[in-house]
Amino acid sequence: MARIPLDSHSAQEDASLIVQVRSGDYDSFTLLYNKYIRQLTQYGLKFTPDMGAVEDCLHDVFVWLWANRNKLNIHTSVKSYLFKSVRTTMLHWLQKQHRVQTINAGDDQSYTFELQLTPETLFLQNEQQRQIRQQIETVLLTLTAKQKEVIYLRYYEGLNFEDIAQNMNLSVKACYKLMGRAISVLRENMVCCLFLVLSFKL
Amino acid sequence: MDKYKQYQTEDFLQDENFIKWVLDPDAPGGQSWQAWMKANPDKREAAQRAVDIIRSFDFNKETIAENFYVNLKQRIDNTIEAEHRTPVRKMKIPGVWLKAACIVAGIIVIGIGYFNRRPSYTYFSTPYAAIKTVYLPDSTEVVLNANSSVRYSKSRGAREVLLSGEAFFKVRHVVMDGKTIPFNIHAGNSVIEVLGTEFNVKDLNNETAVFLKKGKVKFSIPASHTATLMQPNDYCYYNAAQQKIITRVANPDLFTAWMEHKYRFENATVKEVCETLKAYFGYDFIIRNDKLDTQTVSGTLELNNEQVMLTVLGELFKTKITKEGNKIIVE
Repeated sequence: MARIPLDSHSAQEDASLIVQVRSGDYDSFTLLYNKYIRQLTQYGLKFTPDMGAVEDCLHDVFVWLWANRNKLNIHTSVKSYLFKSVRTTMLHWLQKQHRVQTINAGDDQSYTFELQLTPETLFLQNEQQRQIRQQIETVLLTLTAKQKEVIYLRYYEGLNFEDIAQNMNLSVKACYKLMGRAISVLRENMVCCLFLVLSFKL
Repeated sequence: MDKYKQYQTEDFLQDENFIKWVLDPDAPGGQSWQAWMKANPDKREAAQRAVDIIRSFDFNKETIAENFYVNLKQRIDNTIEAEHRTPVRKMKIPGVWLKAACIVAGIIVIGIGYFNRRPSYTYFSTPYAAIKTVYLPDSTEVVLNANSSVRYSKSRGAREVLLSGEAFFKVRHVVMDGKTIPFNIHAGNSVIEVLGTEFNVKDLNNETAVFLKKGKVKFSIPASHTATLMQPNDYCYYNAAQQKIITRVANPDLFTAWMEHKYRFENATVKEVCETLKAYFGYDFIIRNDKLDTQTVSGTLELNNEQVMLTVLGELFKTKITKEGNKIIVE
């Protein structure tokens, strides 16, 4: 899998980087940039394919981070905080672009989150996994932007539900609920698929 | 771990502990899940299904050139630097001591500036496949082609611009105390000296090319003591290998079409076309047929729609073109 490994040292490293940044250490700021800019760029591109807009937003996020380093008040993981900053800036940009009245956290329809499975199929060793993949592909089309975003942040980026809830202005409970709904859509499709597999075996 | 005995696939999918294990099986505590799966064969199928689902959530990544991140960081550095700077005020200093104090302070400030190594200039850049119009502090208009950058600074009464990639300049004529302020562009080994004029500069693969639309510019290579004074519609290029400036009269459309998101080619070799597109999109072109390299083509390519562009390119080259990730393969 071409994912970013989640090692337990990473969070501690980030926390100490932020302490350094707060004390005005520009090198730590650069380290933080180099560590997360690739993931943040991919995340930003889920909101819009406009590379220039994503570049501008990332620029603003990091400039803001440095300018307000003394006032940083981070209650989630640093990674999650950066994701939230990108999210807020991207949604703000979308709002200006499309003159959307309000991009409300509770409103699913106000933005898009373009999510597709990777074309790489290296890990698909057996037929069952291939079927699951196909199912997920169809299910992704029916999910709302928010459901897709929760899936992306939870299972791909590895942020925990508490952090995701904070990022998306949801209660933790609502976040679980959203996840549950997305999963039940998945399951309905999976059950059909399971039936097929079983009937073949018989 | 008794509660897990009641778990269905969707319960596993929402369990922090379980997800952590699937995403990072080697982390401490991972073994206990492996043991649990073995000890509870009746739950194994449900859990395995959850594992498969989570592993399937591997999403498509856009390919982005490393250059993008470097340029973006530079842009961030410049903005932060610019926000730090405060305008310098002129003061009348009465005493010699005050002057001395100012000099000492000045040295300290320069020292800090030197060690921080954040230069004071204006910087603009573009990622791959994007064209941007920017204005320098002297209100000169610059249209930047993809994956290009300009750095502007003012020193000793001249405007100095460092260019990488390709850009079209509409230089503003600035007069101060009855003297025209020079505008110099440094690209590769070349220096282009300007008064007030419109022209295109391209610096690619050790070759600097200038096309002059209006006005007058001097194109020079200080290192090899060569220079030429360009007239409108002149196209000059310097090749580092040949150490020579070559001049010919050219069709303006060929050099300015990119500003309308098009590339126009007239009797260009396939190799030249591929190099131009590589500079714009950042893709590597692999030409499978050696004979194609030197074949010449003429035509226009629209850059906005990549799919259409590749189809037209195929027709232009009269061959099959396929895209594989970051590579374009020309059969």
